[in-house]
Amino acid sequence: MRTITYAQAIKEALVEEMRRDPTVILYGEDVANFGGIFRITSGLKEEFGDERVFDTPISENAFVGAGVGAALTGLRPVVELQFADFLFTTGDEIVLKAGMWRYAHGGAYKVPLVVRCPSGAAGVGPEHGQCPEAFFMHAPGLKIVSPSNAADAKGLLKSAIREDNPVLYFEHKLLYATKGEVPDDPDYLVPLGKAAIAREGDALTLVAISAMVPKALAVADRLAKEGHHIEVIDPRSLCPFDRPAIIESVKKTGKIVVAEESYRTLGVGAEIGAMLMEDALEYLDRPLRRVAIPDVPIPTAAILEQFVIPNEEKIYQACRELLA
Amino acid sequence: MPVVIQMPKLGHAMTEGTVLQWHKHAGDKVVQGEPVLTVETDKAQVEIEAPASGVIARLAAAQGEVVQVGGELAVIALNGETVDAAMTARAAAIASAQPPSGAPKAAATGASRGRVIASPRAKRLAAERGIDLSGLSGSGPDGMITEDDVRRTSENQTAALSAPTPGALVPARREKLTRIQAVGARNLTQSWQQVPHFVQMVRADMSRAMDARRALNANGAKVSVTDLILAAAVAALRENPRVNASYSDGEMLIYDRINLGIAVDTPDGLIVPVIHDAQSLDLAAISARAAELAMKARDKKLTPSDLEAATFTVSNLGAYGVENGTPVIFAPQAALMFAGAIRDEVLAIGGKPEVRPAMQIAIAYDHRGIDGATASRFTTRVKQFLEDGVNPAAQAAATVQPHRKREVTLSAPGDSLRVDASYGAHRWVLDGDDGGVDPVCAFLGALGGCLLMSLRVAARVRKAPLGRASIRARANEKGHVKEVQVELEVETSLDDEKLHRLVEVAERGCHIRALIREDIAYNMTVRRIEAASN
Amino acid sequence: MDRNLKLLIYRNMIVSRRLEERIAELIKAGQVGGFMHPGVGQEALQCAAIAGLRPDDYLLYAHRGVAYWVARGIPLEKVLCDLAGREGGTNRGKGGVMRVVYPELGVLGESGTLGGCFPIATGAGLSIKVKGGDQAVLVFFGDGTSNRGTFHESLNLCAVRKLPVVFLCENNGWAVSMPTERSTAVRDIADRAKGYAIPGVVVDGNDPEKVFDAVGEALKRARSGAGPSLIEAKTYRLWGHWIGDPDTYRSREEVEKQWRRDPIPAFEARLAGEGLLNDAMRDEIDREARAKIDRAIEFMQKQSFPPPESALEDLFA
Repeated sequence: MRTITYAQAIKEALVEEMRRDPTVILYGEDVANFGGIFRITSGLKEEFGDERVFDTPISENAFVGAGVGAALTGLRPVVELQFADFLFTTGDEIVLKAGMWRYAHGGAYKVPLVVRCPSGAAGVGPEHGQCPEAFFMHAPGLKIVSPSNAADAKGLLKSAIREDNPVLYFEHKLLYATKGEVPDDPDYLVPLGKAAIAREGDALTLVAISAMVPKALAVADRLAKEGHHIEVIDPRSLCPFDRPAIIESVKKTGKIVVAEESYRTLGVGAEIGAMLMEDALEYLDRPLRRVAIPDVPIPTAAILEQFVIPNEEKIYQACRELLA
Repeated sequence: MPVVIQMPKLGHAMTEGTVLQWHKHAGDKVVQGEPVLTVETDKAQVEIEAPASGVIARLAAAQGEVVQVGGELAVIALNGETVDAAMTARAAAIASAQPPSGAPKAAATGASRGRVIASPRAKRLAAERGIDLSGLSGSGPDGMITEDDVRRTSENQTAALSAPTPGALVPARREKLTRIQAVGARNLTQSWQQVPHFVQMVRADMSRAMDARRALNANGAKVSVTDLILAAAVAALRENPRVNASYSDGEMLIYDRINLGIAVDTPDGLIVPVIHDAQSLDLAAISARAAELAMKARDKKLTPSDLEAATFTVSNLGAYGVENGTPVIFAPQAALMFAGAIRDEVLAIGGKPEVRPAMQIAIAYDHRGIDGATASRFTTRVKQFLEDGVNPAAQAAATVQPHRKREVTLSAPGDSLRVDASYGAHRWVLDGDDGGVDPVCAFLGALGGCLLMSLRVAARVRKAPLGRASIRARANEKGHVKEVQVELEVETSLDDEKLHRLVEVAERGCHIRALIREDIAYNMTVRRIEAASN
Repeated sequence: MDRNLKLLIYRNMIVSRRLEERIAELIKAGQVGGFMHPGVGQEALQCAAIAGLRPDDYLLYAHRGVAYWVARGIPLEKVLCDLAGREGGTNRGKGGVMRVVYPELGVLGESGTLGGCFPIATGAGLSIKVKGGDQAVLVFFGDGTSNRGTFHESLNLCAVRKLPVVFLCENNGWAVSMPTERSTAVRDIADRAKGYAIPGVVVDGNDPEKVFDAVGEALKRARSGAGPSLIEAKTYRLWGHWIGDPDTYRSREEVEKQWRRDPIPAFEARLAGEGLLNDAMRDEIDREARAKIDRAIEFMQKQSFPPPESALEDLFA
């Protein structure tokens, strides 16, 4: 076990997998010579050479689609987008090509592609700060993960690279510097589709996505001092989604709050609400509460951004409302 | 659009009522203000009047049915609408307001058209434990019954009768408790289980008290034995405020107001009308008020406010010939007094046996907040008051004249500008010199008071939220009244428009306001204070 | 181009033409549920271009006709089963005839969105380069599709990284109802190659030998590691955009004129002139083609439809 940052964990995963499997390549804007604008990939080009680690022009459609083409023809590409928001420029390549090529061609091919997407509001405005998992949860054929800590960042990326299907990997920018304990095992894998119980409890179920997890844990501490021991669940994978974990928890607690850094309408919370209505209605003692962005773009100025992004206080209030 | 009669919220804690008796049937014409049905609440039976004139389109609840506050009781088609159209319009409005769905799984409730709002989890638990949700009040959002509510009820329920009735013992008939009885049973069970009772008993020599009563009644009063007991209670409570209190969570909540509950037996069960603010009433006033309440009780015209907020209760068992008893306190009050029948007994008076009319009194106290010493002081004061037979106010009451409504008697006893006024047992003083309230000020007081009362009545009728209200009424300082200024301050969450409408209605209903001539410069300002949030 | 190759190309052209005609009949008779974008008139281009591919090269075809698959050697039965949405095809009813796949011969499939092919081709080229082989990628597309942003991004990216991709534009003058001169800023799409510093040539798409030579050049260049090329083959779409297209946006004169340039009779004439083809051979080839197609149709009609629940399969590996 070592304590490293989330960013270092991502880099370790890349290095280990690229050493292990020569068909893993990595490319994107500024990733090779500069080591990535978030400095995650520094040194990789030096170790793996220009054929396997290279910089691309500003051509997301071409290079993301090329990731699909390369995956169809025997490589395991890891494509780094500079911002998760750029997934929207590559809608066809991600949703219609990566997500559907295998299915539409009767299963003849597989698409072992990973697209790394730096997400999260960090003072960079509406088009560079989204957490767009929910948009892509709706698209069939894509797997989606959003780690909240260093160990999961590493374990999930390794699993994503070894996965034979397209995976959108959302790494939250504000988590890069957070530290966590990470196992030394070079085969440490976190399975896709399995949630983590970040904290056990019985008073209420708080589902938190990505950077909401540390805030949720802080809220849990606060509530514990007030005598309420809540359960915090970190789904880790949005697709496949660990439905049973959420349902088991709500059966215990009867109360559910979802905290996500995405727009409220049809966000992850909406899907969880539907899920609970379908499979756990008679276990609910209160309505669902969602803490999310109030359906506006993320403004740039700090004071405005702080108003719309779910924070600890808002999550706390939502929990308190249900615990009253 | 047709008008719906809904179950009104008639008491602070009311969540539902029972339809006792319909006075109208579907198809009947009805005039605004006419009684349509009588409902029974926890505490009283209340007549519900038609809010509009028209034809009864349909009755939405059967006799005997329990309906939630806000639930539909009847629908009135307004003049001009056909009965069928009214029903369709209403049904359509209901249908569009409700989400389309199959019927939810029935919870463990009896047939009740008033919907029980409970969380799915609560319903499940209730079904498992065989708990009837319709009897619960909910602590969740919008009064939803929650899991905790069900759990608590389940734990509080007393165990079922242990042995099943042997085959040979079959009841000849069953008498379902009336609503009032059922609620009473629940409350008394709680009191019995939660309040540690202790009882003190005394025997009072009633000879002097009975003499005083005879004297008063000879002069036209109608003072009953119960009235004497009530007056004794008031005197003792005034001097022992700790008994005029409630135990709550480690504190005694002591009240300034003495609200005397008088236990009255009716065919539907025990009801307890309340004389509010008895602390400022003398025996005559108490007697008058008690008589009023008795009449209302007989005519079934008691309102929910007549039954609320008692701080101490008196029960006169003597009316039934019972000599003594062990009272059960009505929580959250701290005590309850039984008075037994007056019987001739042989008492030791000055060392010698004498026959005296004697009354046994038993007072039960909540031992959590009242200790033996405090209780003793109270108990003995009651005895002493009765045995003294004399109440300072009773002297003045001896001169009470029978009075008519709206007839005030004034006398200017001496040389000064002082005038004594009396209305029944109430007395006050006016003073034309600077020594007191002069007539203009009295008038301003009447105006302000009347406006405040009208406002409160108007608010009550419209179910408008009204907190504290106060008035500063002013006239020009000297000479004839040329201008009157009224500054009204109201604590309410109503918006400005609604508040001003309410004030307008109050003004129109104020009899004193109506007396102010057109040529007098009358100006009213209204200021709203935000209702304090909870 | 040797004799056998010429005859092979010719045979493929005949089979393609006959197959298109039969498919049109089937569709018009309501006997298959699928639809088709006929490539009648472009057989020479497609058959000649693909004739130059190695078995280990990658192919991304366009939506224009059946000749791609005939030329590549995909069994006709499979093509017809895909058209009919039956078992026995290549994509189990999931993609229709527009997504015939054949991994054994590097046939990667087709993007439903026009222009989706360019990044995929780029990726296949990337794959070849990283693995260090000398295969190539041949990607077909129409004149209208060359206006997509992905075309430009992909040409640029392939050029920058010298990826072995041959971009072959079938300029048939029309994108559904939109004539090329109204949609495209340049008259010759091959001119766009200049913008990416790669070779761009115009070739007569109805002349199989010219096409074969041009594609051969480009494949050689690609295999050498020198990078991508752009070939514009001028041709004409003789039928409508789809089977059933009323084709009211083109003048009958224009279409008639183009029929006179139908590549099949033109190639027949040339082959006959070279002594490679006589009437008997021609009839024989035609008969063989028809028989082959009949057998394939018979096969197709015997196949079952995929079970409805199979709609939930093949999503993830």
